[in-house]
Amino acid sequence: MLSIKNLKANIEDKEILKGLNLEINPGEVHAIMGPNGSGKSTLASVLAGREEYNVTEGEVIFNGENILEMAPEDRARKGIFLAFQYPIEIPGVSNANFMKTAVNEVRKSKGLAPLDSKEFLKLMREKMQLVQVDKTMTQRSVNEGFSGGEKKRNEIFQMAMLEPELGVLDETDSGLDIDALRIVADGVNALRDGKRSFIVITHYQRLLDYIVPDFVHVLYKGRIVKSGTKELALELEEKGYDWIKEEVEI
Amino acid sequence: MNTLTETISETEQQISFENIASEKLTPERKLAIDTFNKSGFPSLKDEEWKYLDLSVLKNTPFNHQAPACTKLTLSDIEKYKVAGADAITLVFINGVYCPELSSQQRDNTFSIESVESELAAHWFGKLAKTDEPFIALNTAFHHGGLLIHIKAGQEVKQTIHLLHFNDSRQEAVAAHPRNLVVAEKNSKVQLIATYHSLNNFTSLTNSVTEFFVGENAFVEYDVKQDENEKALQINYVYAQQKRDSVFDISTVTIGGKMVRNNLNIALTETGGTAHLNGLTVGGKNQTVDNHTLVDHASPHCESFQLYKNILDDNAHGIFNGKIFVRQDAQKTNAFQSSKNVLLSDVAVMNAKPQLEIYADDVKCSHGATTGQLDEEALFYFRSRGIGKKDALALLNYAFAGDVIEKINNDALKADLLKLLAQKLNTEIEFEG
Amino acid sequence: MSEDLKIIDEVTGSDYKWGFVSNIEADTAPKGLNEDIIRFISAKKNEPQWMLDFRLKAFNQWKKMEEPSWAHVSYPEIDFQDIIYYSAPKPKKTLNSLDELDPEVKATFDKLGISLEEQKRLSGVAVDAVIDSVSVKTTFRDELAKLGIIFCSFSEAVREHPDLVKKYMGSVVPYTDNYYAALNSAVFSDGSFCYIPKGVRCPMELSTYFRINSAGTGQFERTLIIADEGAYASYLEGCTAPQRDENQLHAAVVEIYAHKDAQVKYSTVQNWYPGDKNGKGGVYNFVTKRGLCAGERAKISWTQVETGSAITWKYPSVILKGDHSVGEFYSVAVTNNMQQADTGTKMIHIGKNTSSTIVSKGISGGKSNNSYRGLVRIGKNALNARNFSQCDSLLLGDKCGAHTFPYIECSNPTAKVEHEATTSKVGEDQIFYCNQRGISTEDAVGLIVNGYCREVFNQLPMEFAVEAQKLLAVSLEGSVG
Repeated sequence: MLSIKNLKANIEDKEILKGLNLEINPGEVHAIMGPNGSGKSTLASVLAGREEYNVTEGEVIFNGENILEMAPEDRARKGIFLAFQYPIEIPGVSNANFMKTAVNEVRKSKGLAPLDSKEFLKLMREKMQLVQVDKTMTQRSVNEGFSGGEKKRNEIFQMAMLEPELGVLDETDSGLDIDALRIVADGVNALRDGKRSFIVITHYQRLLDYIVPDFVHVLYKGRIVKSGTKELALELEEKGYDWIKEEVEI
Repeated sequence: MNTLTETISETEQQISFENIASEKLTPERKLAIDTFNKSGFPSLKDEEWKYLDLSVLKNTPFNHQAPACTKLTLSDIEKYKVAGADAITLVFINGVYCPELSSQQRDNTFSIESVESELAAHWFGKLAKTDEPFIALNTAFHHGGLLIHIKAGQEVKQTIHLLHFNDSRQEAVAAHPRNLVVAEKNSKVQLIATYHSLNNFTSLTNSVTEFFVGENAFVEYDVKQDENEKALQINYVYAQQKRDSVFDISTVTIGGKMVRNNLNIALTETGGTAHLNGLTVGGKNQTVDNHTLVDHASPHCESFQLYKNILDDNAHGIFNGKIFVRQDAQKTNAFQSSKNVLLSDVAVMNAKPQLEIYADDVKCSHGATTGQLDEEALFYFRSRGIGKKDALALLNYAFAGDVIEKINNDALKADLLKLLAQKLNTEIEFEG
Repeated sequence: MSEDLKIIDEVTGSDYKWGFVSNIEADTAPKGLNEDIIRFISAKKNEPQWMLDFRLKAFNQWKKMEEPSWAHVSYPEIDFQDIIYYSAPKPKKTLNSLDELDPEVKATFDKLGISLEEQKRLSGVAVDAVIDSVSVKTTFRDELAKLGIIFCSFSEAVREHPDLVKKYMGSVVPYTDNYYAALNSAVFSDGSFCYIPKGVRCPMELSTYFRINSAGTGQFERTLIIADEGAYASYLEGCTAPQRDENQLHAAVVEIYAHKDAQVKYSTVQNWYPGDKNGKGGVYNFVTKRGLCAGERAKISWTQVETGSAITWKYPSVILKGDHSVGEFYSVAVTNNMQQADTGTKMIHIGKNTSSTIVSKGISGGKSNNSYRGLVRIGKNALNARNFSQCDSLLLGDKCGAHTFPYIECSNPTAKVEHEATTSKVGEDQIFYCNQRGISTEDAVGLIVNGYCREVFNQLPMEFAVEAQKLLAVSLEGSVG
């Protein structure tokens, strides 16, 4: 479903991704771990189409199409969802209104009729339940005045609403206490349906206790240097990244 | 310059040179007086002079020809120096530089010469243009002030103190100090200008100072205005900043009948920073008008303005600040704050904080508040047994001290805090 | 005339949705301005002598005045002799019911989406429609009359309620006030008049639609609203103009007089033709709007959404004379392409314990310039006056300008005046976030801008708020580079 081949990308002439390869099949959960500055968030940004990043080489094929030339909104409409590390505040725009616009844009691109207010409310209620979001959150302005945990939960709620094929979670666990982390993880797990795939980018292993990955990759200096299963994450937690660095440097 | 005299026709406000030695009357001076006579003094209708009544200035027959240096001795000026400051003092009486009262230069990080020198011609009048009537007057009548030239890569360790005296014993004197400060690349200097009256007669100080702040240079200029109750002052400061330079100016106005300050800062290259601070503690019939213009002409520059007024009796405060951001000046950060307290029923504050912005990727904001001191705070003081008068003084001191704290020159800071405490009638212990 | 209209009709594009020209036969004065023209207008309207005298006094005053130049706008000199000062759609006979309305006029309203029938049937809004210069029809008159509310065209009020008109006209905006107010006082052709008697709460929104139709006409309408003691009214004003190459002048005067305990809420959605992308054509909107809180606890509230006009020069003001009176100003001003707006308010605090609130949201795109200019004056006797002003500017491109010129004059120590202003752009981060949720950049800007204006839209009556949002979207088309 997603195939990344020899991806190289830079920002302000500084190369961050230096030939990254990754294959993801439908329904799989891939965790990407790595030390600070290894290129984890860059990968998320490049997949979503942030313009500050220049892709210099390689390709990203999503369901048979190279997405690198696509506008961010087109990628989103095709089913790539990025849960932001730092969700943006949009004052004065209610979450519900924001989501209604987004859902109907995605539907439009698929040739579906827009949802009317009633249908939309029904969908929203359903998804709110699924990811444990209460009503007041949908009435507030997008992320404005939200606590860190609320912002992350809102990201998962939006993912539930947009029903993407691929969810990219960029350090969704950072800044969350254990309770908030559990709620967010439960939300993600509720969205695992055997077809939807996830890339879970994280610095800490603890998230992976709740969202159990099929594969774990270590990103270091812009490339995936080691891949394994969830045991690899435990090993990393125990030993840190130094042994990987040594392995790579040799 | 001794034979320079002038006459004012009150209705026409025409000013002319009379009996001036022809070799002194340069074409530039002649042109400047022509320019002035064409425009005349500004009026209240002029948007830049709105709220400021210049009638006393217009109707006083000033002598624009300053007499020779008054017979002052070094010990006379001692009390005007900033206590504890390691300073090089440059003394001006009625706008005329008096070398015999001034410190001798002690190191070679900078040089001093006349603004009429060949070297000074590179910079003179490049920023202060004669289309401003008072600059035209200054250009016509100035008495050859100083060019202070800081050499590249040098740090002037001592503070340079420009000490201005007005002496209007015989007649109302108009002084036209004219100075130039050039700080070359990577240099650093702190300057102070203080303005005083030697007696209690009407005078006019029409001061123009131009600053050229070179690449990565750091210039701090702090001004204390403490003239007598009849003194009028028009003060222009221009600064042009090159790449990554810093220019900080604080203006503290305590004395004078009417003071008008004009600050024009041009951030012409990327990375420049400017801080503009102003404090007015006004009472009686004082009018103090602070006009600032920060011209963001280049990207990635920052400016910060903080202006406060405490106005008692019939005092009239005016603040007119403009942040101008040109189209190219992306990533500008510009902030301005005007905070004012009225202590009497008849004090008046007019504020006009303006933003004029042509670039889109900027962060600009301004705020203005006018009111009384916080009643809650006052009550809190009183509930702790501090009388209303003392509580007010303490609160005012805290309100105003905020601006003085921004000054980097410790000796001047202490001096100003002391002056502030006197003015506010509070007894506050000072450290150091 | 109708020949010209047809030609213009053919060249009008689709850029400006409301840029159609109605083919209504106009009864038009010759171009130019002199005493004869004023007599012509007055005669056309069968005015009494006192009204003509008022006009002539104003005209003489106007001749002595100079066009103001302090606003942050620039435009070629206006030739006041090249303007048609009166143009009434035919037929001019008095109408008794909507059925008698000229079908063309009705069709115009239908195109505007304000079918009078609809309005009458569905929303219960009383509409007084002013095309060019003449008030065409006031709906719901009879029902309002039962409550003692007078809502009619200005000309009618001159004829039927001369005492009220004489007493209040010029009491808030005297003809000496400014250049355009003087011009309006001399040549105004019609407008709306509204009187709410003591203690009456007007049960429906009162509404006026203004429309400039004929080529080369200036529209000089005049509105007078009087709320007697304890009365309440909410008044809506909508404006559109056909698309034309030449500039059309619009110089209106609105006066509101609020007695003790009275409240008036005045909302405007201004959508005059803004000119094309290159700044050709468009309406010059030079308007004087002012309210007087004459009595204690009176309240006047202005809400405006300004998206149209080539040049806007407008400062709806409140004079807070009564103790405890309240003034409010909520504004969204959008400029795009070559538009220029210099708009804001004046809050003049005279009475004790008066308070005012100013919320201004400026949005500039294209090569436009958008200025906020506001005055807050606290008089010597305005004990405990309060003002809070918030002026935000949003920039949508790097070729436009956003400016803030607040004037704060405080002469009373017990007053508390606070002013805050910010300028920012629509954040790239915000747009990217929306993009990532599948929303296009243009829609994202629309969403963000609407959110930014919500504080003001919340002040508008419901139907108007929806219209304002739509207008905003139309106005912002192509604003992001």
